[in-house]
Amino acid sequence: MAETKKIKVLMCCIGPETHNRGILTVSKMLRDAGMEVVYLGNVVAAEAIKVAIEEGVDVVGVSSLSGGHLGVGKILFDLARSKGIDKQIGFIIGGVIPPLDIPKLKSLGYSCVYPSGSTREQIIQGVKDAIVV
Amino acid sequence: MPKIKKTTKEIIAGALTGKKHTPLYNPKALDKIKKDFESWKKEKVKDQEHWNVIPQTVLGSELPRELIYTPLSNPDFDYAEDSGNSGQEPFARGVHSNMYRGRTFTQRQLVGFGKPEDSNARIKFLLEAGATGVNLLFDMPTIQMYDSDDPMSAGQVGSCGVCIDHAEDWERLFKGIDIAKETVSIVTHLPSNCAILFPMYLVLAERTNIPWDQLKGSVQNDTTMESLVRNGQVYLPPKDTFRIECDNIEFIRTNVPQWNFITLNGYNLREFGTSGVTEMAVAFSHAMAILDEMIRRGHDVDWVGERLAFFWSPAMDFFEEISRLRAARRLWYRIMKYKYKAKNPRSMLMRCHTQTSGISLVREEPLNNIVRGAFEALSAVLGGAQSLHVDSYDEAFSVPSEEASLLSLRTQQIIEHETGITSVVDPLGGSYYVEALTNEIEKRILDEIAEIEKQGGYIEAVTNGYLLNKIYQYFYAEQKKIENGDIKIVAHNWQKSKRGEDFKAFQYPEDAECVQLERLKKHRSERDAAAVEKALNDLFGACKMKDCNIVPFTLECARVGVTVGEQWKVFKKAFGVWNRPSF
Repeated sequence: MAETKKIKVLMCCIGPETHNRGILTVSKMLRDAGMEVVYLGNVVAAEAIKVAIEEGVDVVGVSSLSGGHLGVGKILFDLARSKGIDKQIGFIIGGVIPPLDIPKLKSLGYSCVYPSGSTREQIIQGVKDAIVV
Repeated sequence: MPKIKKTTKEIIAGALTGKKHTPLYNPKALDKIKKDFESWKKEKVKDQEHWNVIPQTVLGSELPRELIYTPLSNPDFDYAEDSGNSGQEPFARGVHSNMYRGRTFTQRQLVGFGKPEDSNARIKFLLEAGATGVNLLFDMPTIQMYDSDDPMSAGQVGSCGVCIDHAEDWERLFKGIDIAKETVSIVTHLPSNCAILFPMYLVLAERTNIPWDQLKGSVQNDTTMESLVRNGQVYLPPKDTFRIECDNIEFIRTNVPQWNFITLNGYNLREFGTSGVTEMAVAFSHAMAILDEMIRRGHDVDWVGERLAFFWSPAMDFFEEISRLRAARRLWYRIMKYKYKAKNPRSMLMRCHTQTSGISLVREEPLNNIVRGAFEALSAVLGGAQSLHVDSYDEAFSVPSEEASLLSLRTQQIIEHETGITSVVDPLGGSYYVEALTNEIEKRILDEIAEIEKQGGYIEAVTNGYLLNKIYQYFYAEQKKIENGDIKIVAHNWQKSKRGEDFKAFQYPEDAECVQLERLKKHRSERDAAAVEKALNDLFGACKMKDCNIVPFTLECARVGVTVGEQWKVFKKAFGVWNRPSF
């Protein structure tokens, strides 16, 4: 049987996000599902993009619980686009995100948005769907 | 052979052994009750193998509960020794004799979003609606000590709190609010940012001609927050964070005598993911580490003890929460009396602020969160808390709207003024159930304190990853229980609902980042650059010096217009960086 390549996900918060139960829980869920997680914690967008390229990840997951999701979400995705990796790497975002901001994040370029309370199945499926084939 | 130190549990057990004991219950009566009870249980009670159940609740301690509690649950109950009247040792029933009739719980709703003037307007709105205290939260960059123009702050200025870059922002934040009159809780969270931000508040007092000895309120100043709970880009070594914490305590105790110089924060540790027992065990171990250090610095235990304050999270297990506050008061009294030999009765009081559990709130059918918050708030009041914040129903979506904030304040006012609950002190004291639970919780907190002591004490248990690992294990396990439905959350995983999917949450003011960036640029160009450089150099020198309090130096920084981020850079350079254990 051919071995399938492990899905590789970079998990980060952009900027000084102080909450981390969400990102730790999701990182564990993805590892438990057999994925490889590169856990960066709090970084500036440029660092996240640099590591995503170096590590050759399939998906970048952003955690935002403090209301800055639209601001940091835009900064990160604009940078990904300027580096030309937005078509090679999938971007997903989750956290405390008001319903009306979900379509805005999708139009920025995030393939999936996971508000708090999203299930393990939804998140794992979302990571798989986010992979740019 | 090295002397093996006694655990806190052993010290207290030793002090209590041999004390004259006056049990409340008559042995003859107990014999009769026991006989009746056993035959009743055998003949009448169905499903006896499930006599004990373990409530599955959000952030619960999973203490087994019997079907019914009787005098047999606590046969040695000694009223004077285990309970006492309110305001009397061992303070199980309350810290003040008259409790809420004498002084009600402070109704203190958190405020913080956007620019200083955005939060100023919300503070005034709540005070006009009858709030009895101010409770301030800072935005992510300020908490983590980045200036608004730092690349780390981009996109986050004014999120989840108010943005403060330097002392002038404090003047904007408090414009038209009399800080000689209002008690102000400044939720600095971390010792590092407390050392930077609180002196700016003192400078505000100087500039408005209010003597420091008139200021009343509290800061958080908590190493647990900085080293354990927080998600940071970098961390200082916990021992240095703890030094800054103790420097804050020493400075504030000396110079701002009515101020609570630390709020030992169990709340955020619990919300990060742990039980109510661990929450208190960590906070008490931490408090003891502070007392040990202050004694080492040559201070009297009462000088520090009489102003220690705690901050707890009442979550969903209603009777556990009530019993926990009772247990914590009794245990803190015993620790101060028997271990630290405190003389001043005030040092033996476990005074606390409480905040209902944010993590217990869900997005589905958000109005249900009003009910959750009200039950949690009720447990805090029945438990005898000194101060309360009720989380708002929309907090699973964003920071609360003005309407939701008002509703939280109204929840407190309804408890106080409409239900009659505050007329009687400790209304559940003497309940067979509550007294048994109080005993069990006190015992479990002591057991967990002993575990921390086995690690080498609080600082070591933080540094070596013991506590972090314990928390991770707890919240991964809790997550599983929510997923498989063992813990039921109405409308979320039980009676599932989609209502709330189109909820219109609070929208942040959009101009915060832009305005703060402009202001900061202007501020940097106008201040005395030489004075700033000197203040920063002096601060660095103080950090490097052993047994030197750094706060006079951060105060000088505040006076000459040094920013939050500039001082944080000095701390990182002086103390170096700690690689926090990961799992």
